[in-house]
Amino acid sequence: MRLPIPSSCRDALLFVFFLAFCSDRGAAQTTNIPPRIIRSQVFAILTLCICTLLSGLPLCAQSNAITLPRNLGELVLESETVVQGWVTSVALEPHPQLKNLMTVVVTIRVEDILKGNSAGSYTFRQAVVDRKDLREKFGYRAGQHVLMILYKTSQFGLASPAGMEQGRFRIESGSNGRLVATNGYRNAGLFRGLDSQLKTKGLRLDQETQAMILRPVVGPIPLEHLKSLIRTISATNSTK
Amino acid sequence: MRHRANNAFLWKRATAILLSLLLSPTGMTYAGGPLTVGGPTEGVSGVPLLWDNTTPIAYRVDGGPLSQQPNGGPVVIDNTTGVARVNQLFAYWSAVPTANLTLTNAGGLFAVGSFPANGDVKTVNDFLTVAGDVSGQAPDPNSCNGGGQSPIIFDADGTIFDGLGLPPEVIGFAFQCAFNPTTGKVISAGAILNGRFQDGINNPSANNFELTKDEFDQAFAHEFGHFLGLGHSQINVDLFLDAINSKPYTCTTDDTAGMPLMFPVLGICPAKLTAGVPMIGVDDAAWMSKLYPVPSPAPSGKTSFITAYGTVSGTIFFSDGVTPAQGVNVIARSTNAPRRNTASAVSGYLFTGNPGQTVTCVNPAAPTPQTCSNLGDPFGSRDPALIGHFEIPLPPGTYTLQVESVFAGFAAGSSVGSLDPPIPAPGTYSSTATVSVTAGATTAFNITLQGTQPRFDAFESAALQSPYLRAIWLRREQLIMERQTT
Repeated sequence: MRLPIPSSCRDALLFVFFLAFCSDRGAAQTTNIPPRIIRSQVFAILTLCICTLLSGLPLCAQSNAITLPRNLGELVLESETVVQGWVTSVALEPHPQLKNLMTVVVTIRVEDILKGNSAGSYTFRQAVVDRKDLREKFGYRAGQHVLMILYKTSQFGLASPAGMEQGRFRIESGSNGRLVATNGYRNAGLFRGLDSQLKTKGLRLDQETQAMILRPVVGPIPLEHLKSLIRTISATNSTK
Repeated sequence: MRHRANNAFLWKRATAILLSLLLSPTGMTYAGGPLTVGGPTEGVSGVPLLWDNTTPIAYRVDGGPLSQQPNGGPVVIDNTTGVARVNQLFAYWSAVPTANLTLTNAGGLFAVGSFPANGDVKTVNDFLTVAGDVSGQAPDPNSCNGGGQSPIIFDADGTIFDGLGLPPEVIGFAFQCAFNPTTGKVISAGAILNGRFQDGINNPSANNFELTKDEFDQAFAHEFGHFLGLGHSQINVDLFLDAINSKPYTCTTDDTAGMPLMFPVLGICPAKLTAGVPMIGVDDAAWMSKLYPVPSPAPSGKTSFITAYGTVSGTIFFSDGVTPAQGVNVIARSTNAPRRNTASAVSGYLFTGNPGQTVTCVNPAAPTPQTCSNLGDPFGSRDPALIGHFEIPLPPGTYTLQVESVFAGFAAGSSVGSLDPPIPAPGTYSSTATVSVTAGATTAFNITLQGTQPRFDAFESAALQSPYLRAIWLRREQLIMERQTT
């Protein structure tokens, strides 16, 4: 059973294969551990790596916030900007005014703007409070394909995804080739209560999108449906 | 109209569920036991990062009110009451009889730079001054990042959260500040509480949410668990799954008591104190005690860990019975009260979630962050013997073991176990076999999962990766012969 391996994962796998060689030639000869056991452990590492890598690139942002869950409608309504695009740069920079504050500055090449105004590229600056985030840069990496629902920028020029991890979606190709989106909570609770909120506002959705919010599953959702929903919700807001 | 009323009811119910607070730990997460485990260069490899409990663990508390209404409105929770609540939340942990923890409120905040001693942290600048330089390059020695103090900060009206650009649903956060990279001992940590959630105003349309006192306290008791070095645990997750899938469910008293305080999400069941069950669950107490065991003989008022707890220890294997499986949640349930008296661990919890690699570095012999794409997580052991390994501290009794996947959404700040994001358990295990746990003893119990995929298909094996001189088709023959003779 061969698994498709994203190119970005290949270097990690190379290392594991390297370990496999080493364990056969070196460790097994210099210790009393049977080679079979060592090989099995190496393969466990390999399995671990493959599974980890295939289950998605790390999105380890906001390692430290206690956050009230919000559904998609609430996230969009409280947001200032909703943007889809490719992360082109991620930089760790001291805040220009606030002493002691490091920030992660993320620039996105805009593919589509669903709320707010932006053309070409969009940049936001997120505050780093925990040391882990200093190292991980909230898990942002150049080359990531994302959809960001961003809360309004503060007086100090700082911004975060609405609902923190809930407003940050990773975009990938689904098994059928369609693009799918997954937020930091694997979309858990994203549509909770949304149907009744939309009905209250007299909004109608296409059949597929309606089915998606009525029978939510934890995991990726079609990007086109997510965007359709966001546009519907934000249009309601803007016509108020 | 009736339909709308029903929807309104459902929405209220959903809103109640929304009180499920997705709780995120501070810093690096190796949960299902300890929050963080030392790695090759950070702390002691394979040993959890913990406080030095040979002396009291001291925290210091903000001098201002815990909660105040917006725009300079009336104080809702004054400083005295706020400090008392913080002390009580820490006291839940220090009261665990088998946990060797002495937690002390050392008083008001130290002066840091322009911030005065015993001052009130009111602004973003105040907060950043007390927290200190997060990069750790030149922190003020009195600051948290300088290792000078462990501040508990009250943002009475949410001004600091707003200034930091955090969205209105952030209730608070805890943060690790300094630890000794050689000993792995935590030196300082902190937390900030958003008093806007306790200001008596519940106006979601104005981005002002409210929690009950018990909900708010439970959130920060959880955070203080992280402050002390405890990670997340997953038990009774079926209730959570029902909740997010909008299925009807009921939390019994045992369900509420058995769901760990360190479950990544709160609010699935009523707040523990509201339900009349202890704040600290069996799993919470077991793990805090394992991390900070009371020695024997126990001091007055305490109980030694080894007289009160035994351990079930083993390894989760793939179906081949050889390959260890990482990231599988293992739950021990008492045969008497399986939903209440229960504790868990995630297999391989001491092993790193990201071993990294140096093969593709520009100079593999001298890897640097600048020249390597993945140096791996600096935390967590690299000892292969710890892959798939689990230990569960348990009070004496008879237990059954079950295994399950860590919920796929428990990633990043809500992660459980060292794999982030988690992976589905590669197989199943179902057995009514019981395990007898005796105080002071370790019971070995390995689990071989059923129905796992082969490590590779029939044409790929470890031997095929070996630098044998034989041609690949001959190696296959050799492998078959090896299998027949072992």
